Amino acid sequence: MGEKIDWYKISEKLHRFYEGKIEVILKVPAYTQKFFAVWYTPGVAGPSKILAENPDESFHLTWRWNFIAVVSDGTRVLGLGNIGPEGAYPVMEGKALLFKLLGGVDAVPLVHRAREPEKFLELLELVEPSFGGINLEDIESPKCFYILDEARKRLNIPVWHDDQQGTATVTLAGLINAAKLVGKDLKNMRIALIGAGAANIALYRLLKTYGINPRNLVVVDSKGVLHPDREDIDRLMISNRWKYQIAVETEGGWNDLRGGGIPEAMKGADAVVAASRPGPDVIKKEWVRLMEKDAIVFAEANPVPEIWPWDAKEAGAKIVATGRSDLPNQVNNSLVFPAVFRGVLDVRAKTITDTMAIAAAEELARFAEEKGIHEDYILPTMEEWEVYPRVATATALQAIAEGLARVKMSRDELYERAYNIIKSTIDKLELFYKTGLIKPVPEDVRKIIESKPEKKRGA
Amino acid sequence: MAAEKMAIRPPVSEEELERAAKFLVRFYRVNEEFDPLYTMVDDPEPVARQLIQRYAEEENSVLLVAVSEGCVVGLIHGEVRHNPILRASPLGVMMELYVHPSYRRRGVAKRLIEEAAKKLREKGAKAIAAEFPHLNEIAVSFYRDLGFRPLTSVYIKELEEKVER
Repeated sequence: MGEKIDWYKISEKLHRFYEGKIEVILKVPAYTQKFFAVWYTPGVAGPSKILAENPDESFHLTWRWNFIAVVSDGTRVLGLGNIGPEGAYPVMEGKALLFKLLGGVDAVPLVHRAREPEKFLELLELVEPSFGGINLEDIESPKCFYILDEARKRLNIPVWHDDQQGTATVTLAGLINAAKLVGKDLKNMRIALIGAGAANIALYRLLKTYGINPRNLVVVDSKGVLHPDREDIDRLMISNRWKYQIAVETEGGWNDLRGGGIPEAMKGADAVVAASRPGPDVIKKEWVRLMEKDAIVFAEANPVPEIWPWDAKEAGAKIVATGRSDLPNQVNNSLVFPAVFRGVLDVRAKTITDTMAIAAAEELARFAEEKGIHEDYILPTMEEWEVYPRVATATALQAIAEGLARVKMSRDELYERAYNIIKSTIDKLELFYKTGLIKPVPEDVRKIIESKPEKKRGA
Repeated sequence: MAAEKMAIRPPVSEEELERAAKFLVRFYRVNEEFDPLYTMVDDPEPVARQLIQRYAEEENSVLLVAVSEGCVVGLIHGEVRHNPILRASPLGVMMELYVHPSYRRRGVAKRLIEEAAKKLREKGAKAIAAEFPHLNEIAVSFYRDLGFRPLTSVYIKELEEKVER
């Protein structure tokens, strides 16, 4: 194994060098003073008067149609925990970068101190007029469930919590293709979910909506299998009603478990999706052996998956996915959120339903299938940028079908619009690189970043 | 299974009394969530078993269980309380109510309350009341939906420990 790359250090260096990573830039001509009378006073009073009468026109007279906030209180940032709003800032700014680069969506980080759920919600309601959508991020569980549910009810713009819906959607897409490869019907599969945080609780709901019987699902949290006879079940009803509901609906899964932990849950499972804590060996090899033939193992913890792919395969797993970009089958929510927002912004959808997320997952899976899926390719990668307008279109069409779109377009129109918006961002960036308007990275860092990713076993 | 097919009756066997005692502990464990003054003693099971025995035997008590396919899935305990100066005396007060999570949201608690109210009326009760932790909002909306209204407020504070001997 070669020298280990210190990403923390490189990242700090480049953040200092560029002083953050996004900026606001004009998209209109403003090269003579005359334009100021158009874009600012006195002319701007014209659009203002229209908007005072009809606030809805803000989606046509301002950038609101394409503008979202990436909102966090910094209570659960990456694997770092509660590190506060400033701690969350570079993550949110990074998310905004991905929104623009991959979805052509203008996004700003909005980190704040409103940790109290009602205050958090009030903040969203108060700033709603500025934005066309809200992407929530890195909020502690179970608060995040309440905030998402309530925000979806109270706001008239789409609200998405990426740690829940983004991760769940890309996981579903991966499961769809994994099921195809092993020749099983996903709807009849038995699936163990390890970890009951934002991602897996959202996945549970998505799988149920997809058509999987809750009795064929079993969920394990840090205290063991969720089932209705658990000692803390009534406490869960009050403190975490999402877990409570899972316990009651799954009844401990297909084995009627009334205790036990990860190995008990994995017994007889066709697939396991772990989104729990960094491994390795959170999931043991011998537990994979308890699974059905052609087992599917998704180990999504970062930076180290719950089980290394080679260990899972040695124990009989047929398809393994992780959260890592240097291993095959990366389950990466960056495949989802830029496209979903591109889609809902383009049709001005009122909300993002679970069925819209399923439509996005199915399209993501279809895109990879058309390219030719195999054990080590069940999901597209972020480099295949054409996947974004495809998924955007599928999401938008579903919004239209559900009567949630304020703007209606045909499939071709949607695709062309999404394609053009995303392509124009790529073209602009290309130009900035070429002309040096975006400064080239310092030579020592460039060498590292542009070197081939080492195919390695272990970190 | 629908609540109508469930038997609501006093516990009849040692096994049912045992299960009722277990539910009693679970009921109080929920209350622990709301205020430290609801904290149970260490090892509450044997105490609960004795309490259940008393509830089953005492003249002014009503103890009922919901039984589905031979298994106890719910419990209610109420008592008749006298205050001779009030016209509404005696009052039937429901003090403990618990339904197993797998049997919730299908009207079991409602049936337990109806049957307990009947028994309390037979013992002379002129009105029925329910006691539960002030902060239990689930209970508040549950009883409101059944037509109950707030009557008594109980305020509480710990007594300071004595300093002088």
